[in-house]
Amino acid sequence: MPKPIRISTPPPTFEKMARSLRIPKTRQKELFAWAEEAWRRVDAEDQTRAKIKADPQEMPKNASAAD
Amino acid sequence: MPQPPIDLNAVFLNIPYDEEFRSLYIAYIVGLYQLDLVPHLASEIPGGERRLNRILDRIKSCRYSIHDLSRVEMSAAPPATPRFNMPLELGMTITWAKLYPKRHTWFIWESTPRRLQKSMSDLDGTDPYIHSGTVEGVLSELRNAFWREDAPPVRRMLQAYRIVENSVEDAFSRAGTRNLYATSVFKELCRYSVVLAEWDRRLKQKRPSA
Repeated sequence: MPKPIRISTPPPTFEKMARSLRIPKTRQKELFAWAEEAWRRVDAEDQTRAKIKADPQEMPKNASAAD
Repeated sequence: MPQPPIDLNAVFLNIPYDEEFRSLYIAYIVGLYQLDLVPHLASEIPGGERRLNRILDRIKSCRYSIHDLSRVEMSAAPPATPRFNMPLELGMTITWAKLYPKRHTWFIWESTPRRLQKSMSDLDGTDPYIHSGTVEGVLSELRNAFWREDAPPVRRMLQAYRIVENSVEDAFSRAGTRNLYATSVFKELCRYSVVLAEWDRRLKQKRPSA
């Protein structure tokens, strides 16, 4: 097993990364709205999957859309 | 001769630029951002400078590098030729790290445990990270290689990967090209990944148990 590197340097700030990736403020706003929706969607999909796995008889009506 | 400044969070990715590598390529980008690291490709540096010089400059500016040798194999298109770009860039990196060990640390990634011993026996004693050719393998090995106390779980990293993978068509359309490895597409994937990571970080700050 290779030896891991312990990363102790502070993470770059989002502002610094946004500058280096040239994300203007308006796009940042759009991207954060997109991220919020995307995280919500994958969380919901995974919860549906977990429920189906735990109890296949209780398949929700919209389960096929999640898969 | 003065050396260029190093970005302490930067990781140079020495990877194959081909369609079969697509999911692992995206996994590296997403995974590194999830760990607060910043991926870089040789192709990012613009200009007419000779490619080899650009690659060396990029390696020199990054604190870490990942050399994925899992697709060092014969090319499918005739004439069958071994793919030497990745070993060449690894060799350049090893020399750089030997000269300046405090400035650079390199890692080798492979798909199977014993392939490296067979393809490059000179690297005996170097343990590669094994991703088994899977997204989950890349993400969990990234987490093992770059250890951070507050690293997100692999499950969360996989979710971020799914989101970015689903956004590739948007990235193509914004960049105006379907070349996954074009700098413009790479930058779009970076933008998605960095915002996903930042959104999660802000959520954690709001709700420490999240």
